[in-house]
Amino acid sequence: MSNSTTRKKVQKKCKIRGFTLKVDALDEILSFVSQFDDSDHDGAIDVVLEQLQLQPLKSSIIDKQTVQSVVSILLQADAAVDETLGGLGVCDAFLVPKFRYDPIKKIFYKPSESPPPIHGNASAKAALYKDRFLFISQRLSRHQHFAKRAFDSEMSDFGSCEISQIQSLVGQTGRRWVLGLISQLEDGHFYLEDLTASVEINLSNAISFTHSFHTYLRLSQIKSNDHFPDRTYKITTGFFTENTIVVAEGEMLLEGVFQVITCGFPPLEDREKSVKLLAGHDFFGGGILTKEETLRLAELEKRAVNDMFVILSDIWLDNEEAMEKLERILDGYENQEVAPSLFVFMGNFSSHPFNLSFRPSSLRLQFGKLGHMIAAHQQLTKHSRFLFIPGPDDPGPSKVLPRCALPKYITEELQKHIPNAMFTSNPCRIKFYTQELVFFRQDLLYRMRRSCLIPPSTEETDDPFEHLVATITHQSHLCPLPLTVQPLIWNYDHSLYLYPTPHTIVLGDRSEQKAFKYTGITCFNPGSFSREGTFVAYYPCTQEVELSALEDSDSIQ
Amino acid sequence: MVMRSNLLKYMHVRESAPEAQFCDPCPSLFLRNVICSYCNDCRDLDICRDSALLAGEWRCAVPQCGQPYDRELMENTLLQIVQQRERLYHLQDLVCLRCNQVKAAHLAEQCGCAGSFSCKEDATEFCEKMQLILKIAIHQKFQLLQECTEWILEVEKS
Repeated sequence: MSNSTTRKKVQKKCKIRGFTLKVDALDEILSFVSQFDDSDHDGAIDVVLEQLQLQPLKSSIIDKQTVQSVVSILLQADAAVDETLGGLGVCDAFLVPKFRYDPIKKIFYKPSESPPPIHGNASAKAALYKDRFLFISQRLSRHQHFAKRAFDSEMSDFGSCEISQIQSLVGQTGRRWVLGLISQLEDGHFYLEDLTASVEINLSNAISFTHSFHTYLRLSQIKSNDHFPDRTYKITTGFFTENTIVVAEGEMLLEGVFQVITCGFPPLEDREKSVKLLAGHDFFGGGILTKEETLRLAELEKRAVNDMFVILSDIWLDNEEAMEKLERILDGYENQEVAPSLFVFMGNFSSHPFNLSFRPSSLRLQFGKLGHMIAAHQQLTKHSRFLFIPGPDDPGPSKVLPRCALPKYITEELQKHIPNAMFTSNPCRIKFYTQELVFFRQDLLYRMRRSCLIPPSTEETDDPFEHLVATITHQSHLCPLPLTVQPLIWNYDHSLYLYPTPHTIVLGDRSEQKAFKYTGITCFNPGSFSREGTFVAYYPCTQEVELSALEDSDSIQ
Repeated sequence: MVMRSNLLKYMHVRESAPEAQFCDPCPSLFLRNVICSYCNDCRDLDICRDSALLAGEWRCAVPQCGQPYDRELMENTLLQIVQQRERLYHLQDLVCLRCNQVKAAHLAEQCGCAGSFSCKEDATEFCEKMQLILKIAIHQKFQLLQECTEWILEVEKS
């Protein structure tokens, strides 16, 4: 496409949108657009003009400066995405944009343009819980059963499920629904806290019941003394730990305790619904895409049938057997027709935790050996990317989440062999065209089971991994454990959010390998490679999960 | 005590004045139970006050031994201290400025007495203590420790 045709195109498009371009502004737009391929010129022009429309413009005359600021915004949107190769973008936890919800204006906003400090002040700690609560409550307010009734209509079959503020429970009788955070405000006494007040609840009499929200609505019709012994109540699937946010139905007793009849996690919101509402806000960290861009990338994603990610967790570089197994896997993929597009190596990278007797210099050498091993596979070095995510016991500045990438001191030797190796935080986010994947390496299953306050409901599933997935997705948070169990950086709690729900969640856990599709979300655990020899081959195009294992005698299955 | 009040009188400073308060010129940083790998001597070392350590001589203080301490072990110990401090920062209690009560609730932004909360150890205090470790890391060429403390202090990399 010649320059003059492009020029005319730009002018025409501007005219349609009611803009008047100055000559130098037109030149700016052309220089931006020329960075793209010919076939992409149209899309690029549209991108610039759409962004222009979003700007607060004083008049319809566009000058060079306005265009320059728009171009810089568009380029900045790519800055959060670390590396882009074949549609792959990696977003470090510390670069995820932070948003807060304003319940009065009912909008999401960015509290500040610059990244927040790692060591926050006192209000940051309160904001951690408050923000989580607000995110869930705004989501709940859109749910058909909990939305506030616009008109004073007759009660539906199910009765009003409108959420009451805990503050308003005082002196009230009858059944009420509340949304609260489970807190242990006094030793052994549990409370539900919301933004207005807190109320004590009795957790000792929970019995498990079915998950479906409709079912438990129906159940709430049953009076508490009818079918069940006094004071028992029903819960949904999931691990109910301290600091999870729950929807509870119950009555205030005379002693000031809220007697819970049904208790469940807040219902999930469809990803499409969330994304529509948040249009224009980059919650994931993958940059803002226009409609045209999204469509183009979705097309590319559908065509990427050969792309495959190989994901391994717990790779003990100091263990000969594990290294041998890894070599076999690399050998196997080296000889395949199409090399995997991405290898994700999650920690821990040492069989011994990082403590006093640990020798970081030996880990450094071991990484060097690994780099040498990988570099010996020419096809892989040429065509695959390698991503390293630290485990909870790997050396680093802290065990508080999110955890930054492995220190350069440890990875320098490997980088000499593989200069384009990527090192990122734990957790981290990967964008594959339009697909959003979240990777998290943490022994969550064990910790959630230990911190559980009520034995999980066995009605729907016995599988603890499924309970775990239900918990983190409904809570929209990768690690809804109390701070004392897992400390978090107060200002960076948002990097562990799962809102809008991503397409895929990869939980590196030392428990056995598992995969589970939950309401459209693909969730899997590659298992501990060094202990069990298990790993996963993931095909992002179809979201297919291939649970794999290395037998002692065979090659890759 | 008598000498102190006399000296203060000479300097024309009142006893109760803020200038007269003792201010620690150099905080201490103890490495507890450091063991010499040669003679198995065990002692606590104050990295900031010990003159031999400050001079760069990280050697066993036992006169017959005098062998250098295991550098990697020292670096590890310091890194453990860094990790522990970082963890404690994010676990610390919030205290009400007005009534001094520890905050129990999670979602409340203000205390029941309408006072606001503050950290028991605030960010500036925390960073000052970390600076000390960073200085030691740079001085002793502990590369890993330096990288980690720089991350904690959010030192801008050029």
